[in-house]
Amino acid sequence: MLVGSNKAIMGAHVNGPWLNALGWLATAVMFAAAIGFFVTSL
Amino acid sequence: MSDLREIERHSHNPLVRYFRNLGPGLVTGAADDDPSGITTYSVAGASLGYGMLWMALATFPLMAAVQLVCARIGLVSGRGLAAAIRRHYPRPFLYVACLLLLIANVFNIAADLSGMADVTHMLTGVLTVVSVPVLGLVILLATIYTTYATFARSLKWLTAVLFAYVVTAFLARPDWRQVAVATFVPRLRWDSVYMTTVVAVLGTTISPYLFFWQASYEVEAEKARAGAPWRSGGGRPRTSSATRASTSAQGCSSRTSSCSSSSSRPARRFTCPARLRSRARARRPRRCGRWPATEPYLLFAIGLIGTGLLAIPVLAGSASFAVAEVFRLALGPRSHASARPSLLSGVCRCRGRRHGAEPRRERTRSACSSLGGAQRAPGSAAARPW
Repeated sequence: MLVGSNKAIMGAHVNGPWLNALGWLATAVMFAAAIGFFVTSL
Repeated sequence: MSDLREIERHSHNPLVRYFRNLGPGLVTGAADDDPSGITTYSVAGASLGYGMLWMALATFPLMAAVQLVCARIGLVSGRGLAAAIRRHYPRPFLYVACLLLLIANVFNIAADLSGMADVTHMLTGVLTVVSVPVLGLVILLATIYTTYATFARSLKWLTAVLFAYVVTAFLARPDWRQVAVATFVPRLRWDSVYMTTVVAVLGTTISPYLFFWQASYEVEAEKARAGAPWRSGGGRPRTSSATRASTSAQGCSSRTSSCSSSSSRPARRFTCPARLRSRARARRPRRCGRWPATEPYLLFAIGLIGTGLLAIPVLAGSASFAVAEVFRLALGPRSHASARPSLLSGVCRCRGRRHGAEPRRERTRSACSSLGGAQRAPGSAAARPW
């Protein structure tokens, strides 16, 4: 989803550094939680 | 919508303007605290005590960022997220994303309906078998036959029911010092119960519908406000600050209520020896003690039904927006200045401007499929999303 905001679609309105960092952090946290869930439930 | 423009014109007081601009973001965030979400937070509180409270604080910036990104996509492209993906990325990517959204939303609607029906059963004794179709039908009719302006306004006001949870938290009389410590000091545990709860809380907080709904709703609100969507190439999005304000406000309200609903749960748990294990029982605080003990229960129940009324149209709507965009159907409340410019009837009576050859029945079915989910009983909805 976040990739969509970084490309040609947005023109001059691409995400700022803060928004980008937080957005990707959210993605990473979700990903890590999912991995953690699978690891612990095995 | 003329009355929305009317509202914009009469705002001199910055505070009034702020609250009037609290539109899309607030509704999206409030719908995020739907019955299934509240139940998840409740179970988190019931099984882990205050251990999860810090997540309410930690997920706020993350959720706000994701939502803001989607809102900006909507504002800049003048389209929903699915349309943006459709234009710039490979088709399979779009189909997978939309299929995931549909599945998640159908499950979510089913869970919300059953949650509302359970609470209705506890309050009035009406059987779940009766209340699920009745609730589904009421929501369906309300969604189709109200105009966008009414719909948006009542959605905004419905978000007030979230304060029921804040009140519930106070009525439950938790240990506030302990609550504060648990909120600001993150504690991670590496075991299956904890990780499952982390995934559940994250999943219900940052859910797929959020991305699609925020972008589409922003486009619709912008259309209603200015008559045409904002396109790229100009200055900064005009509503950017309004969006930011409303997203952060919704984030606060959403986090506050999730925080308070999960903090009220352990308090009940500690005052009662009984452990709340199952989801159904977790929804129902034990009535132990004198009258104040029933107050949180009532508020909790009313809040749950209210959030369901708010969340189900949003869930169904986000799926409709996405499906309509995938199949390139004209959508939205003002797809034509037709007799009844309502939010979803615009989608359901979609006029396929670009795909005239596509059979009408097929179009209508795909656009309405998400609403069909709202009417199904939980079991059948889970089995067959279409």
